[in-house]
Order: sequence, then structure tokens, then C-alpha cells
Amino acid sequence: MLNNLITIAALVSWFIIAPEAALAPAGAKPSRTTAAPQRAGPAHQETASRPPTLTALDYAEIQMLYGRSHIDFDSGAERGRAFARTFTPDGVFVAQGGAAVTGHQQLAALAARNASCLQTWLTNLMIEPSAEGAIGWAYVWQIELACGSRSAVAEPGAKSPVREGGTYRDVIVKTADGWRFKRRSYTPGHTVSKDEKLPA
Amino acid sequence: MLTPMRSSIALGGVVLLLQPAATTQAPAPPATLTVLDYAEIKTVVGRYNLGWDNTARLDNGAQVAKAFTTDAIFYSPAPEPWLGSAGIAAQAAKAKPGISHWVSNLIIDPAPDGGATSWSSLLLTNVADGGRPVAFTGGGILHEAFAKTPDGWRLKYRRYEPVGRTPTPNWPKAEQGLFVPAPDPNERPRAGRLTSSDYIAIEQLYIRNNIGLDSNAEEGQRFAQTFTPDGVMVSEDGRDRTEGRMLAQVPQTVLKEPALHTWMTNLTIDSSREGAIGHADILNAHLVPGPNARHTITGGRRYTDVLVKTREGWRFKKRTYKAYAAAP
Repeated sequence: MLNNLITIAALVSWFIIAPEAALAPAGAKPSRTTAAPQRAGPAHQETASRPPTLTALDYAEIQMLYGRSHIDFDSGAERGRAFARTFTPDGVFVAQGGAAVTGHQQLAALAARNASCLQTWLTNLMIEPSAEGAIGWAYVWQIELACGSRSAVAEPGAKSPVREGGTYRDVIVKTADGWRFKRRSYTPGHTVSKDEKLPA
Repeated sequence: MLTPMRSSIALGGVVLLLQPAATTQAPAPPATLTVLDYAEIKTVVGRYNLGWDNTARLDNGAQVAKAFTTDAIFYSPAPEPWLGSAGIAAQAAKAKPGISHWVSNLIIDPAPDGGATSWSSLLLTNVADGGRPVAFTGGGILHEAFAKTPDGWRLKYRRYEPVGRTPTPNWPKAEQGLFVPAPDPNERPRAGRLTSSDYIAIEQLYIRNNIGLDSNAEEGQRFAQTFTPDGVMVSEDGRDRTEGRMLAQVPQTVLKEPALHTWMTNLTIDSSREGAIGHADILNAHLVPGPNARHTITGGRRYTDVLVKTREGWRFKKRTYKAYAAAP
């Protein structure tokens, strides 16, 4: 479902928003951004000789970013713009096998389709410091509740509200507005892609 | 002949030998944890899950090994405990693919030995490669202990109690989840903004609230105690309203009997003029003991909460909830 949404949103955006930013066809490598987001000074403690670290407040604020991102995604608030703001202006969201969704307009279009149901459940958030800011690993479940067309798993033959499970690997940076996603990679299933760098 | 320094050391040793009682009776420093300890311990939990579920077949269990001390002990449902980081990593490397751990309601407390203990609820799923289908395969309670090593926090003890293993769930004790670490001394105060200590205290409050609901402990009082004395819980449409002392009745009206029921996610906390505003999404599951049991998702709730900081700590002043059904 998430893959479909992303593909649809990307195609729509290709025609109506930013054809010059139109993205590679499904299965292509994710586009790489070139413009660095505005930094608000050192987001984390880092020196040439010491590995990067995060403060307790960094961990807490990043956790809040995740929660806000999913609540805003599910609600489609402000026609998806609330969700888009959890990314940097040049932020990228790419699902394995799908086209990348890049920038606030496309990200907003992705979330604007959702309304009034709980569907995105984040678990197992693991945050690690990185040279760029932080890397976030998390599981995401698509469990649709009260969307009007799903049924519970209790009865034999009933459809499960659980649609899909997968893993996020996020590059997170600290901007003047706080922590934001710079790049989100989604891999459905339980196996981390061999293309992803494993946690340090 | 002893140098002055050696003489002092020798004299000190004699004094120590002559006063063993004074040494052993010295009060131990109070157990404590910093805000960063909380964050790093949560990272260890995440590393274990990610390592077991996602990377063990790529890295031969290396991530899992990094989550444990070399002498760790893990009581899984297997007949014999798994021993040491290497032994546990070996189990991870040969585990059946598809398992995913959803750990929720993680409460962390300082331990007298300088480490930490935790209690959490676990929901186990099986996810096919490609993301679907997803099946809920079980769940239970995790009891864990952590040690701070030169390489950072590590699990030194882990015991998993699947649903049905004990006659009733081993709920946390009343004093668990109450410790609030002091703010990071290097954290710059920000007017009208929450500190890392506030975030942790509020998160732990949510968790105590969830566990209080699931356990109906002390006839609902532990749930009620997460609210101010004049606290209110009201449905979004305003039809259902419970306040004050009546909040203790909520758990028994929600659940027929105490059970692991509440899994929380998407917690967000923002500062407000009154204190803080919190949002959280709750997934309600019904877990059934035994192999091949049919577990069900029974619904969910979204909480929107007004929180205030009282002399006893953060409390819910008003909770507005919207219930979502899993059925059509």
C-alpha cells in the first residue's frame, strides 16, 4: 500500500508540480540531494578525533519528530504540509522498488491523501549519532483502524487490518527549525537491504 | 625502608584493616541514572531488536552481540538459558527469519549496582519478505538488567515471559517507573521549552498510565494516580466523561481482566503555557496463550492530553480520546 501511495504521489507530482524534478522510474536508485540543509550550528558534539555523539535532548527531540511525522502523515493535516515539514525542504522519501518523493510539495501530496484513520505505527526506534547528525532506524506497520473498509482478524476469513510491515532508515539533520528528516528509506519486510549501511 | 608515600599507603591500609565495619557500613550512594543513560539504554533495546530481526543473517549476529555483555544471560522460552553475547548472537544468526519485535511500555529504573533495570511489553509479529502478510504471533513481558561498560550500556540479563507462562502477568511494582533523572547540566535552559528530563518523565508517565490501565493495579488507583486529583478523561464527542476519583474505575470498564492490551506509539510532547500537550496512538491487542493461538487487534485510541507539572511530578490534567475500531 505504501509503495502504491508513493508511486501514485510521485507520478501525480511529475505532471502537476515539478516536472524538472520528476524522478526516475520505479526501481531506480534514489535521487541524491545536493543542497545541504541549513544548520543551526553544531547539532551534535563532534570533533575530528572523537566520534559524533548526541545529547539526551537530541534523542528526545528526534523521538518527537518521529511521532509528529506519523501523526501528521495519517491525518493529512494542512493538505499534507504538516507531514512535509518534518523533512528538510530538499528531503527525500524513497521506498525500495519505488520512485523517490522529493521536496515539500511532493511529500505533502503523499500525505494529503490520508485522513481520519490510524494507519502508521512506529516501533523500535533506534537512534545513532552520525557525522551528518543522526541515523534513525525504526519499524513501521501499516495497521488501518477505522478507515471504513477493513475488518478485524477475530473471525475466520476476516481480513486483517494489518497491511504491511517494514523498516525505515532515516538520515536526520538539525536545522534552524529543529531536527528534520533529510532522507528516508523504506524497505518492506524484515530484511535490511544490503545496500544500507548497518548500525555502527 | 618506606618512602613517605608508601608509608601513607601502608598506614592507610592498617587503618582500613582496623576499621572494616566503618567501611562496610558506609551508606551506598543512591542509585541514579542520567537523562543520557535513558536514551542510550533505549538504543540498546532497539539494537537488539534490529539485530535479531533484520541484520543477524547479514552480520552473523554482530549487532545482537553488541547489545549484551560477554557474561549476559538470556532466559528465552527455550529450555536452557542462552549465555554470553557470543552465545546469544549465535542464536540470532540461526533464528527463523521474519520475526519482528515490538517493544512498548519500556520503563527504566536505576539499580543499586550502578546499572539499570527495565520492564516492557513485547508484541511479536512475523513479517514476510516484501512486507506482507503480517501475522501477530504472540507476546509477553520482558524483564531486563543493564550494565554500563567501557563500550557503553549493555544488556546483562533478559527474561522473556510469554503470555500464559505465569498465572497472571508479572506487572511492575508500584515504585517502578517513578525515577526522574536530573536534566543534563550541559543543557541550555530554554524559556518555555521542555528539558530532556521533562520528556523522559512524561514518557514514563504515559507508560505508567498504560500499565495501570492494563493491570488494574491497586483497583485502578495506579491508573488514576497518573492524573491530577481533578483530572478528566473525556471522549472526543464528549459523550463519555470520567473525572476525579472515578478515574480508578476506568481500567475495569475497559478490560474484563488484567492483560497485556496496550501498545503505544507515535508519542509527541510539546511545551504549552500550562505545561505540555501530549499525543499518543494506542493499539489494542488481545493475546491468547499457547502455540498457534489466534491473536487479534481489537482497536485503537488516539490520546490528546493536557499535562501539568505538580509537586509530585508530571500528571495528566485532561485526556481527550478518540476510539478507533478494528471492525468495519
